[in-house]
Amino acid sequence: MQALTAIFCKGLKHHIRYPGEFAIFLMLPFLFTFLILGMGDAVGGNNAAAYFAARTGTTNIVIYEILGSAVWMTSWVVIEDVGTAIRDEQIKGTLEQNFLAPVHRFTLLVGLSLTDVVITSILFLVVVGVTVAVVLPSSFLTVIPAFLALLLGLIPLFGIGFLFAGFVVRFKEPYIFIQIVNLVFATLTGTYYPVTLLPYWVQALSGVLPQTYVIDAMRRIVIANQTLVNLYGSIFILLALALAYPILGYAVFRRIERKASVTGEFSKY
Amino acid sequence: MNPVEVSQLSKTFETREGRLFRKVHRSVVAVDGIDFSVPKGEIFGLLGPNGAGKTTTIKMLCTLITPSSGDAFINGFSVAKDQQKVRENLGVMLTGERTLYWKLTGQENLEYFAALYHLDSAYAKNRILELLKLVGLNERQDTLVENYSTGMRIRLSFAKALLNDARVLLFDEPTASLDPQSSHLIRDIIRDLKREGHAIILTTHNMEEADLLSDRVAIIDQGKIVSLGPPSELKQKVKSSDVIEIEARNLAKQTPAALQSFSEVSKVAITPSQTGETELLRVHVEKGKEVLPRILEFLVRKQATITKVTFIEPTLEDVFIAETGRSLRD
Amino acid sequence: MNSRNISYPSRLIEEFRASFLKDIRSYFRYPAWVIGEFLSTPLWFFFFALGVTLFVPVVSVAARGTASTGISYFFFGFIFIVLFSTSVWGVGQSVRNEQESGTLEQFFLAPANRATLILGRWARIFLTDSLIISYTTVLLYLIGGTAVAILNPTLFILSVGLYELSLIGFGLFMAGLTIRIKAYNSIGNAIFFGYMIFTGALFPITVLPQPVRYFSMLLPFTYLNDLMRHAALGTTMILPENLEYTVAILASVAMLIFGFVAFNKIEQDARVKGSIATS
Repeated sequence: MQALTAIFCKGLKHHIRYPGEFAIFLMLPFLFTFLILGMGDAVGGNNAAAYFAARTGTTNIVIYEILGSAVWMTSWVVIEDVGTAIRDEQIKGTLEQNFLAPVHRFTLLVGLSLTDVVITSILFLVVVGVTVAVVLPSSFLTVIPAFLALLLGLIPLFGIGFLFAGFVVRFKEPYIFIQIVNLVFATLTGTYYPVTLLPYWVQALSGVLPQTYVIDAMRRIVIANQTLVNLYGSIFILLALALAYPILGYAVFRRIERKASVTGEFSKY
Repeated sequence: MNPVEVSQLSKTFETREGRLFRKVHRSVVAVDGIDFSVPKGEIFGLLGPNGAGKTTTIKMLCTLITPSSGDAFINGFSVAKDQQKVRENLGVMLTGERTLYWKLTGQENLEYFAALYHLDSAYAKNRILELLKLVGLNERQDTLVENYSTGMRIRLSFAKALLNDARVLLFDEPTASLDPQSSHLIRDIIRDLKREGHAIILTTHNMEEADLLSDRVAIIDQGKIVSLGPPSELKQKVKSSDVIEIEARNLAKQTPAALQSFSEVSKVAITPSQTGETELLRVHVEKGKEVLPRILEFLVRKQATITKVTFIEPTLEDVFIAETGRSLRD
Repeated sequence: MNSRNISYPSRLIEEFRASFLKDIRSYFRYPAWVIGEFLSTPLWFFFFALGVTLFVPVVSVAARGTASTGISYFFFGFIFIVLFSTSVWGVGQSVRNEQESGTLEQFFLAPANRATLILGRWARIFLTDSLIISYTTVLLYLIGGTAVAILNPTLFILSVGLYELSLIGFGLFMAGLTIRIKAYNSIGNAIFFGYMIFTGALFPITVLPQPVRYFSMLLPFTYLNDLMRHAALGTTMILPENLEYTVAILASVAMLIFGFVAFNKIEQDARVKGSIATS
């Protein structure tokens, strides 16, 4: 518990000391949404909203897009933070010191992840809360169940973060991989469009990604006023993914770590 | 004119320090009016503790820093006004292994820098092969620098400094992080370069190296040259005193100041020993053999545990202590 | 002998060649980055393109090619962004990387022309960006059934030339900024997003509110983007034709000069402060 608290506090201090990074993550959902809206207006002209409604079933373009944006950014923060935390420690030369300490690896990874629960919660509440309050105030209270769906969706993402942590120990350069994975996830999970727009075989891939269900659930909750109970199918799948991803991610991390202790990877950077 | 002429060279850094809306302007004098010259075929050592101004001096000479006042001339070109010409006339090795491109091989690194120094390609090709052989990297020339050991990277950095065969060479800690064998190789090369008529400026923390290699040494402290001359002459000045080195435990902080109350004691400095468990007192004293019993009695009264007492030949460290009252390692 | 007999133009060519070669070698020896860049760049395009398709009419697969104007518009925006990122992330960031890795000092110790060294880097990035844009064009046709056509190739090539001149100038400025301001990421992001929003890269500036539009019209890249898009797609120009050509040419030349001047000034300041290669 003491170690977990220490790791959590260290991670939090990093974000407090580098507020610029966090400010960028707060701005990006708005910026990307604005870009999509601008481009949509440019290509669709006067009928842009009508074309959008025909494909998505809603005229609430801003809310539709901002929900996708917010989930995308929170996912990015989680996956990047856990993976790059390991890389930062590698570069500073402190990874070995962390691994020498009598702290369970799981505690180390979870401690890093817990910081992100706080960060992503703030991110979500600011981005989605402010947007809904301004654009669709009547649905403001739906932000709470939407937030719960997000929290449930974060657990499998930590598992993906553990996977990355393992890749970093082995392959050293995480940033480009993280960028590609985040982009692939964003493309497959319907960040700015319904996944039904994708070919069927691609939709099968979307089905194993937690954000697919989180984004869809949020849109149904905030725009269509559905409840978490209505969405029991998605919740059930999210629970299953919340179990599967962390177990798989941690298993891969431990395997790579064991191999690294044989090959001496910890001291290389 | 000598290849290197330095005249009243000074550098003051202006900084703003403190909290966000309460920043205070501060001036830091890093180099304070230093003068020296280096003729052809001389190795000139710059010795001093951390923060003395050695690196700032070197960086002014190679144009990375603009002097606040004064000037220096490299082969007649002013570092303040003719920066491009100065760079063409210098070979520079700065500290550290992080001066090379890790994703290039040893040979590719030298080819790149050869182009930057405008070497004719046919000449450069032969020069590179010659230098790689000189520093013992010819069999690893096609290996990426990221796979070199620290010693190999430093040797490659050294070779890079010799690419353009400049008449003036600046070496900043050239043997730092090298094993004894590689250090020996680099020192031999530096001696050969001196014989070929290059003017060489060398900075080092290593007193023994400065003593061994340098024809003249300038000891810098707090931006000023406190002593300048051939090592033997500098040590001769201190030789009129005896130098006693006392290794002990439990030395009080006030011990150096207290020992100076002895009329025969001129200077005292204290540093941790290599083991870190004891400390070394270096005492400059007249008639050492006569005064020693009283010094030892004093230390025992102050509950110090003495482990070793040695009369030693003065070194450049003692020259520094004599001038500043502090150890070079402070 | 060594350098005395090499003429000044030959020196510049050799410096450029050495810098380009160094960059190309270093780049391809990071396979993760190469693969990542070649994968992620078109992926960004397709990701946003999918979002944009929500705003175009639903058409049959057979008719997809004829509804391509919207996607083509966006595709050229993608090209502008890839090219612009050469300055911000290509040149600027690589100077920052050299600062952090310690090789920037060597750059400044050498008696080489700064601009040719940076041009060498820019040339490598231009080459790899051109490859990425080319194969994304092919992918767009194969996957999206959209053929990207250029209405006026001559004007397009000229406008690309002007664009690249301004990018060289802007790249020099960004390189100088890196030396001056260590917290490069935040500034780089701000500039990059500012470019995307205010210069008509992804959507016409007419989408922006009127007061913001005035700001956009002060930015040189607004006209350079507009000219390139007009040459490719025949879109209506912001200004009357001849005036826009004049403004675009003047903007390119001005940015080139500005870049050189800014870089030199920042370098001299950094030498006085002693911060030229500190990270």
